[in-house]
Amino acid sequence: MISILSSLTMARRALQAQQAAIQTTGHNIANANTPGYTRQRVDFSPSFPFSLGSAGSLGTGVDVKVVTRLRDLMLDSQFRDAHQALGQQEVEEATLAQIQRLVNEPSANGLGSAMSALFASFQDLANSPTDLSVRTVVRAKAQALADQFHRLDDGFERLKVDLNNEILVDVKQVNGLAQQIAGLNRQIAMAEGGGGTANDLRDQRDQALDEISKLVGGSVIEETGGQVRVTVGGGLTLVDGQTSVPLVAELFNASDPTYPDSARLFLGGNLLMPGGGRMAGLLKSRNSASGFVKGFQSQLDVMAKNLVLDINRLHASGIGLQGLTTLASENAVTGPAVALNAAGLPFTPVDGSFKVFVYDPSGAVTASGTILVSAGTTTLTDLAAAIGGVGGGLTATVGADNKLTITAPAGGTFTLAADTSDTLVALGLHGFFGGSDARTIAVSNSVQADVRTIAAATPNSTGAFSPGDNSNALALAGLQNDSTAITLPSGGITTFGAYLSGLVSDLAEQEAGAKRSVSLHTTMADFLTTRRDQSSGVSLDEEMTDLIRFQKAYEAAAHFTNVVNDLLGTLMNKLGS
Amino acid sequence: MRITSNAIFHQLTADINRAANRVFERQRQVASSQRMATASDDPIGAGLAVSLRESLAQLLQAQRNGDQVEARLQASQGVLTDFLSVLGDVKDLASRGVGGDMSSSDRQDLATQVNQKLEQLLTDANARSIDGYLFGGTQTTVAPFTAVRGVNGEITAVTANPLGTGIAGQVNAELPGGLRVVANVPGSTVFTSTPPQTVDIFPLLITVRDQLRAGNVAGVELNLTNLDTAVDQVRVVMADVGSRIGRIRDIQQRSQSDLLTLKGRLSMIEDADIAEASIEFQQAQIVYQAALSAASKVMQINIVDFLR
Repeated sequence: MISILSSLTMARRALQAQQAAIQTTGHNIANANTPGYTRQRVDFSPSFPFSLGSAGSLGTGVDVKVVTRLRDLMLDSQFRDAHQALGQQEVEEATLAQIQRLVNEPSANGLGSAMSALFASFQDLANSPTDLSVRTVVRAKAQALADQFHRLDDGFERLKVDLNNEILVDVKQVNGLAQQIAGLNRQIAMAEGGGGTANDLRDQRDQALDEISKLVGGSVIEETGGQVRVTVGGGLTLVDGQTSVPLVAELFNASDPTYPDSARLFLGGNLLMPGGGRMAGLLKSRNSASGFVKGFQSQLDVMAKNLVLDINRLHASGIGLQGLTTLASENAVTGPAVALNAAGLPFTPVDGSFKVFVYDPSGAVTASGTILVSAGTTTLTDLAAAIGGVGGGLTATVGADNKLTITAPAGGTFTLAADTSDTLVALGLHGFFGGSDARTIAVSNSVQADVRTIAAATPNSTGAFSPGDNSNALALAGLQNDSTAITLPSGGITTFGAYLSGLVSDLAEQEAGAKRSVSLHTTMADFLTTRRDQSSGVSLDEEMTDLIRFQKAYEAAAHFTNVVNDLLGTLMNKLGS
Repeated sequence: MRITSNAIFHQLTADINRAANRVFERQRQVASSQRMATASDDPIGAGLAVSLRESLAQLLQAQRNGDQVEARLQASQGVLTDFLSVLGDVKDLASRGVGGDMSSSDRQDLATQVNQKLEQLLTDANARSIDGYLFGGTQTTVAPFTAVRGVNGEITAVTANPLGTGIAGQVNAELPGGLRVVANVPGSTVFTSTPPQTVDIFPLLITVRDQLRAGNVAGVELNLTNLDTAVDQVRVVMADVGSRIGRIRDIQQRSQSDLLTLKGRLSMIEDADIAEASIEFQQAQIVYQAALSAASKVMQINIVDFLR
């Protein structure tokens, strides 16, 4: 039969079990607001019974079997998937929103209105070609347009730097988390080595895994011994057991042959392309050649380049209120003896010709010549010799800086006209703008120095010109409606205005799409957060009722102890006396 | 389903945020009276607005061009009117000079008067406005006609600037709708025999003056027809200028309705409907208040309040 003392032991175990439950309930209440905390439950089981032979068995009370974490691992993986997608979308949306704020169209003071203002000033120039104040306004409007391009280009460059910095910060975070997970793997393996589960350590690790998946995505596999393996970017190991592989970010500049103008991640020497998370969004925002920073920046460059090309083509063959006294090319060739179409010029000359006229102080033509350009053979030295050969005292020299300088005879002037070879545009001779993209576009040196050189007029075939002639100013103004003004990289053609409005629409549509995507993923992530909160989170109402339940059980167990104590007393008193 | 404190808290926060966002968005629309905060609120509208703004700026500039051209042509027309009456006077003087009752000294007087008219015509031909010489063609900074004077200071000949890069040069201007008009009255069309014109006015007047002085009645009589042709020549130019002014006014008038249409379309895209936005603002406010008050009610309830 069973000893009465074993009843006392049973009572003690019951008290201990209820107390463990009360302790766990208290632990749950204490951690009600702890992020990543999973509610715990004490699982009881009846202890091994005492066999009574044919009479069956006699219960021996309760055992604390295990303290379990009430966590749904399926929900965890769904939660991480949703959050890594959300992390990526959020970063992409934020980048696009920044680009949109930068472009700031439609507005009364953006690129579009600066461009309209320049073309309007060309019209004013056509109305009053001899008015110096109008010419000064034209120069100011050109400067304002160049400033808009610079503002945008600077903005894009700043965005790149910001994205680089964010990538570097996130890499540090990922490495910190990976080390933390490796460390927790070790602690958990040690704690669980003797059986049981290391609940609170696992909570910590789950939270680190949540964070790391928000940053770089990836997947988590639990291996034997309670350790997890984290792989990212389709199979590259970030954490394996107790070791973590450091993630490295490298920045490449525009001249890098493999990864031009980009930021890349490497893991264990392999290029890492994260499948999700903030990092995927940051890398896409930073590196993508279509859309995002580089895409829109290059679209802007295309616009600036075509603007310079179209305006300079007309301007270089026109003439201002008087001829030029001296003119230096703004774009240097790679060498004076290199053929012009291979000399690294921003625009490529083609076969053709241009004319040179030399004027005496009264404006009468004293010498003229047609310079033939064969783009594949003519060099800058050839060009200088040909221009010098026009006569009338005109000189042309190639400087040590590989630029061409043309100087009129003393007291006289000269002009260049009827260029069919794009040589003047390519070299930057008598252009309206200098530079060739959004960063370099600027009012040309000659216009900057003297607004009278703004070419509102066109010299006729013999070189004669008059100051009231506005034909070139009208042609310049007409570029605004020129449907072939921009040649797209795809080969299409369009006007400047349509190009800009297309860019704005495109950007806005991408941003709107990103916003929709963020809102969709937010709904999904919120739903899964709530689901996880519902299964793993602490409900204070529940814990309070549990507390009462365990309190009552504890009181009952204590009462039972009293009864056993009384029984023992009875035994001692009655038998002992 | 288990409802946990965190789940309630997350849900409430998300709901209140959404309601607050709606209030903020409507409030922004009402306060700024702008429909779009960013282009992404209406991508197609944003692209269209960029184009419309460009068209609007272009139209306003074209209207400015039209105003300037009209002013310039009006000024030319004014000078031409004066010119025509002077030419008429010369014709009268010449007609009187061929009368048989005229003495030689009378004809000398007439010649002197014709000379005065000639001086006046030269001044008119070199009339200036803010844009330079009105009849200078494209050479607007140098007087188009220069007098060659004899020993007594009288005009013996008038030289003109070259045709191509001077008095025959046309200056164009762009008007609304991309229409081009000739914005000046080239001096060659008024004063010289450049085709389709037939009379060189200054030499004609110089000849008439000299013929009167010399008593060459037959010569003067022959030149009366030429003077008639000269008057017609100027009249035709004036009619042309007048019709150009009329055309410009028509174009400007029509562009005014284009301007209103453009502004209307831009406003439809960019401006908020204040009445609608205000009502939506009120609604959003009510929803926000409801969300807040519901939240405060839910957060108050806890089992602890009901124990003991």
